[in-house]
Amino acid sequence: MTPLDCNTCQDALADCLDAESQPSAEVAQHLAACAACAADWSNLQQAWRALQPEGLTLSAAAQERVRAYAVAHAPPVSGAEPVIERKPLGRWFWGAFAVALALVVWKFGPVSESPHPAAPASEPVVAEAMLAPLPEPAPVAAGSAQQVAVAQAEATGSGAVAAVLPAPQFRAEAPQPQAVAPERMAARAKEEVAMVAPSAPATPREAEKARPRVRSEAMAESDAVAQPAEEPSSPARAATGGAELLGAAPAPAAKAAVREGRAAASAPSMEAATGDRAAVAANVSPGLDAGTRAALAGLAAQATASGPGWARLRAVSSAPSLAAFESILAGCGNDTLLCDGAALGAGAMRAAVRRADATPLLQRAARSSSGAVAAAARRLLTGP
Amino acid sequence: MLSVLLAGLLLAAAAAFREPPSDEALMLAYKAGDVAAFNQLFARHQGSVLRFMLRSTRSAPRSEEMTQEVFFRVVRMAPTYEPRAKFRTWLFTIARNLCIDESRKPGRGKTDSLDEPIGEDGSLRRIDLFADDSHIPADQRPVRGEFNARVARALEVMPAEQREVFELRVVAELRFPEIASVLATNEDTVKARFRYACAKLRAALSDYAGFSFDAPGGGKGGGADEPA
Repeated sequence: MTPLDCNTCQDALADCLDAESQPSAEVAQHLAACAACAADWSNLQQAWRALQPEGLTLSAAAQERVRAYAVAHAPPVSGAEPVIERKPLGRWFWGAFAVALALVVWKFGPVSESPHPAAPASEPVVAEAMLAPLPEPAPVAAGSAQQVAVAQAEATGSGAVAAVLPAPQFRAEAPQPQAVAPERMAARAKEEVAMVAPSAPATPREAEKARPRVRSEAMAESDAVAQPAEEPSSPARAATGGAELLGAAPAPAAKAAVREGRAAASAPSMEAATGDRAAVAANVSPGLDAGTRAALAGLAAQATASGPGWARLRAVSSAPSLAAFESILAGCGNDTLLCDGAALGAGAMRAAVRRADATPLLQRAARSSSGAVAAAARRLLTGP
Repeated sequence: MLSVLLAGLLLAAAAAFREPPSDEALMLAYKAGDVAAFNQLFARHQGSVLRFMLRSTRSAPRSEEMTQEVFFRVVRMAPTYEPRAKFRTWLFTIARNLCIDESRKPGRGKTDSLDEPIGEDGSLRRIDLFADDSHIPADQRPVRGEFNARVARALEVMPAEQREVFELRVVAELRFPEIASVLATNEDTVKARFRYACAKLRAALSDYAGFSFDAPGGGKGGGADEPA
């Protein structure tokens, strides 16, 4: 404690000149040690007492006059509760009530086994929903979105798209972002049309199937050649009454069929469901039995229908053999799939290449005249 | 059963520690029409206001009149009262303004000296009317009277500004910030004036250094009862 000087002591004592305040411990210590300050403080206290006559009050008559004046000139009652006496009591009462209630609850209330509250019942549901695989694609009207996109592409004057999609077509699509810019939709539609158009139908049946979907100049010529030969329709197509289902092949079912070796039984319906591109992909690999071809057709159809990106890569990554790998590549277009694989899923693609022993195929692609394809193949062969 | 007992104990404690209403709450209650609240206020502060008026006017009848007038003004200004400051600050601002108004009236400039002898024989002084010395032993009362007269003289010769601050601090028992608010000045100025007033008072009472009226037998530390 620092020693107090006399000036500070007297300033501090000036604050104690009332009936309630007392000198602090520091000041009291100084007063005990300093005789001059103690004498001054004593005198000041005596002067204070001299100026504080006890019991000095107004006369009774004066008090009565003041009270009568206060009653006569009292402000009108505002209706508010006279809170003077009741407000502190009310505060104390409710405080005590709350404390008592808390104690009672603490003492006699239900005891929880766990110090932490149980998680809400909805949380596991949310977690399961988050971890669950993506739902099966629901059939959506492809005609509306694609027609709009194609129409926009035509309106921009690109001239690359001369296709008219039949109105009520349904196809299974991989989940896409809800908000897709019209420009992107148009670009996607053009890409799909461009992807489909160069691959001419391998069979008259394929030509017949492809005709209603895309009517480009090249396809029209193809149609003219392939039109006479028409094979009997499959039961599935007959059931749809002519409305074709593109890409509706259940890819998981097809993969399971490949694994279990029972795809032969479902081959006709699978072939009908997967559509022409799937058949094209399956026919690339001659020598396979009908069941395997059908399964590969399902995979290729999924890859084709899913458009560029992860869905296609998922399909090719699940190819069980070199034949399947080649089939899917052929179905999707070697160049596109290789570039997508190198850009988006090089790891999965390399794994698929290893699994399908498709390294020679990539080595051939690495010598391609197309720089992008060659670079993608080299990247898939050598790693990042 | 336990909860009932606990609640009863807590309620009893709450009743025991119930705080008295503040001045501001009382004044707001009177503003709302509660006359009993004004009576409480009046009982609390009439003594301090009367002392302040007595020190200011040095006249018992005038101080009583002016104290009444202060509370009349409080009543009249109640409808416009807002608790922006402490009630005591507001009250003594009214009292001081009233003193200023009173001092400006013609014929009211003359003040009576508290040291002035009164009574038929002249043995009683005016200040003795206001000093309660009943607790002082009879043999010390003359000494106490002398001491009070010395205090009164010291205050009379004090500059008005210093005396005003000293009376507001010692008589009205306002805090320095409240005094600064009443006088419409800053706190440092108030403290400086009070320090000067104390120095003058200390000099005037130097003869009584260490003299205690409260101790039985009184006297200085050395046992001397009379001042030097």
